[in-house]
Amino acid sequence: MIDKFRETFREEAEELLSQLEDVLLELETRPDDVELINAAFRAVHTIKGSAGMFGFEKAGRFTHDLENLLDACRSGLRAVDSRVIDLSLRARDKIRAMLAEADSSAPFDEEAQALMAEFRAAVEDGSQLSPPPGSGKAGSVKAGSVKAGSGTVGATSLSAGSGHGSSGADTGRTATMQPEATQTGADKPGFKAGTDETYRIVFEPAPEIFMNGTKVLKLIEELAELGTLSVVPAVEAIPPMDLLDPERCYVSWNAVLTTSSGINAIRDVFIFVEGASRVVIEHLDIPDEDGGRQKRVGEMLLERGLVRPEDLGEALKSQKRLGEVLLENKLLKPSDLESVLAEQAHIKHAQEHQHDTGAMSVRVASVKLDQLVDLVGEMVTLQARLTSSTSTLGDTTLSGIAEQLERLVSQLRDNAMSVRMLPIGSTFNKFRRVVRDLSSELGKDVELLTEGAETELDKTVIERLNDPLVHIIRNSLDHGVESPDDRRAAGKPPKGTVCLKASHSGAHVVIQVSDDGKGLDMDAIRRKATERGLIAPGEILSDADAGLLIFRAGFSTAVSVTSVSGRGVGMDVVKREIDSLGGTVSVETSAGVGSTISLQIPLTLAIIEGLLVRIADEHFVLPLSSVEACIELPDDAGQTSNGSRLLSYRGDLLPYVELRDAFAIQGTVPGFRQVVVVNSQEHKIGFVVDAVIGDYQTVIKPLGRMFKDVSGISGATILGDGTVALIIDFNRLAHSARAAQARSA
Amino acid sequence: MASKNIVQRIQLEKISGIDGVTDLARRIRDALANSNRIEFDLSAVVELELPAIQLLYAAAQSAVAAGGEASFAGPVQESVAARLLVTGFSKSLVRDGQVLQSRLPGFGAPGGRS
Repeated sequence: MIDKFRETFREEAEELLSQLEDVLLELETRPDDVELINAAFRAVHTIKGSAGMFGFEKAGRFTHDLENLLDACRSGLRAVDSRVIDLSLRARDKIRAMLAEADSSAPFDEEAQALMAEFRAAVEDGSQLSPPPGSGKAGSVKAGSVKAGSGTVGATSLSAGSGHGSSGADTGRTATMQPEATQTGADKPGFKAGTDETYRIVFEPAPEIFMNGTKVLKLIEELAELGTLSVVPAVEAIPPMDLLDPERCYVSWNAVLTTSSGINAIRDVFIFVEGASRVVIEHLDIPDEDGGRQKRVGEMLLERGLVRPEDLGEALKSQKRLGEVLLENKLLKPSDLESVLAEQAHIKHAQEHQHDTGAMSVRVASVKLDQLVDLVGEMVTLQARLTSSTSTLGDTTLSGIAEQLERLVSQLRDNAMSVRMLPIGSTFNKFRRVVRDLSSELGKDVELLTEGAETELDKTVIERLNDPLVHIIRNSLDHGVESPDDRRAAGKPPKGTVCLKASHSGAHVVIQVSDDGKGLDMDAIRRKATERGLIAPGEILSDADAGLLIFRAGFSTAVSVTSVSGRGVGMDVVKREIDSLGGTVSVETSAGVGSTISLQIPLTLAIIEGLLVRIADEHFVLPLSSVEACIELPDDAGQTSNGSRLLSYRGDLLPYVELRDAFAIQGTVPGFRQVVVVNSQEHKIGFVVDAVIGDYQTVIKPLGRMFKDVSGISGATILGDGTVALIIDFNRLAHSARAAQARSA
Repeated sequence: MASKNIVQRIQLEKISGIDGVTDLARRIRDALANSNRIEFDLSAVVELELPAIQLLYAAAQSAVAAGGEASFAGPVQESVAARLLVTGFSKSLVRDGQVLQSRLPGFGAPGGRS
């Protein structure tokens, strides 16, 4: 069981580390942003707290030192500079590596020790610095995130707990707050370890607590970071100056905390003080807003033993508010009344929140989603068989049921697929770090711009896009964007840009990586291709096709090999991976202006809407989203003198491919045939088939290893009658046709 | 001896914690010996710890008991304002010292409470 929790922690820590990386990169551009400093601190603090709990003690100890550094920054005791960012990013990578280690008891390695020493040095060095403008501790609560009583109010109008539904006096102050958590992470999916629970906490510090160096207020701040906290200090015990011992603690707190972190996280806050101090943590049941009645102030006072029943009875006889009467008669301390009012308001707020969060997200292992999609795929296949069988039987009742089932299965398929869709922005964010580190390594100044981060794509596709995009971006930085000196000499700004853009295009997503560098040297590419025998001497190759040569294995025009690229390894991997995703790659370049590499990727690899066609007895599927039209093969269609096959289509000449020939299918050619016109990489092309059968929900099954290199086929599907239909890789067929046409021209 | 009505201004250190609390207590006592009106300047403070806050409350009680008052002057650093709010001392995020006094319930009251 513990392994399951550890794995869950790893997953959540991975998300937090990812958020931390984003925040740090953002902080690098806005070092005075208190929100960002606090967000970084919180992420580190959460990892530290949970790491120890799940047996990652080493990571916890390491993170503690990083937390100190960030704490110094948020306290304004240390400026956020490039050293802090560098250290924090390196530490983030190290924490990640530590969490992946199987043995958490191993001693710190040299790198970890060096980093920890650097953290301490950075804190000490920074303590001499003046605080950055606007810095503050968590302190640094944003006005908008402060809530009071039962509503959210601006900071300067934070209202006192007003005793909703009670007869309490309005005497107190209730800072019910959630420091920034709602804005930068704590409420993000995956941040919460469990469901929200509410606790009452009494903290009476030991009188001599200051003498061991404990910073009492920091404990309250840590408590506030766990969730939504309503806290009331009791200051009545502070004596006047002549009686005060300045080294003695006189203040205590009553607090109500709603948190998803669990009671152990609360205990952890007080772990070093609980021996001498009094700490009481009680779980509070939050009654359902509809069914449960809120306790009245009197009940709460009695329950806590703060007033005697007879005093309460007497006070209730008065026309005045209960709290006022009790205070006037000195039967109750003001802070006790305040804490009861605060608790009442807090519970009301928590009740409302229960309703707000009733439809929140649920964390599900991705493998379960894969299984769900697989099962839906099987159901789609079975439903197709049912439809086929009912059609053969001719039973109208059964046909009606089959049609109804078909609609339901279609909806189920769409829902199942939608839960696997993720915004591609999660991948984009990783590349900011790649660009930052690589720019520094190459001595270049490059900014990464992103667009369309919200574009959704199947999670399996996103995962497989990571490596290709890394290769392309590295290549852009190394070979595309010039050094600042070269850019100045070329009349460009010294800072280069790489733009990562995603957009939907039918059932595809187009991802473009553009840079404003020097562009591809097409002459050098053609020369190199000729030298390597990839093209015949004198062979004319369009720029678009020549650009694709960079995706050939071992192809590089780089004069020198760097640690980044230049060996011609990598871009071929990009092409292979994109091909295996059923996507396409294209290149556009302009000398001195820059290059754009475009990847066109199918939205999903699991189920598509297909167009079922037949050639002789063989069935094939074309992705319906790419199909523009189905037309009759005209009699005048034919072969030109150079071997190209062209037909007239909407006033233009349309190249077409005889699938019967492409797949070497025997049999009699029928007199009436059809052409399926598809859009392939901004070109139109026709595929001649014997018959178009119709649209078909296609559950894609991968081809086995034996068939994985068969050209023109990207997968297979099972038809309703149990036979297999092959899915046509029309882009590859179209490309082959265009290449053949170019060769013969 | 100075007039009892002359405001005695006390500037708190950048880090006002346990380390300087004895010295701060001495300064406050000296000020109270000369006047019943005391004004705290928190503008330089970036870290305000509980020992110093207790002193402010105690000083305010003593000043009020002597027929005077304790107040604040100058701006309040965000870190201090936020800390007072998070730990429940203040009712709102107050950056203006002149307003702070009214946002600290119990400040100046006997036994810390009115």
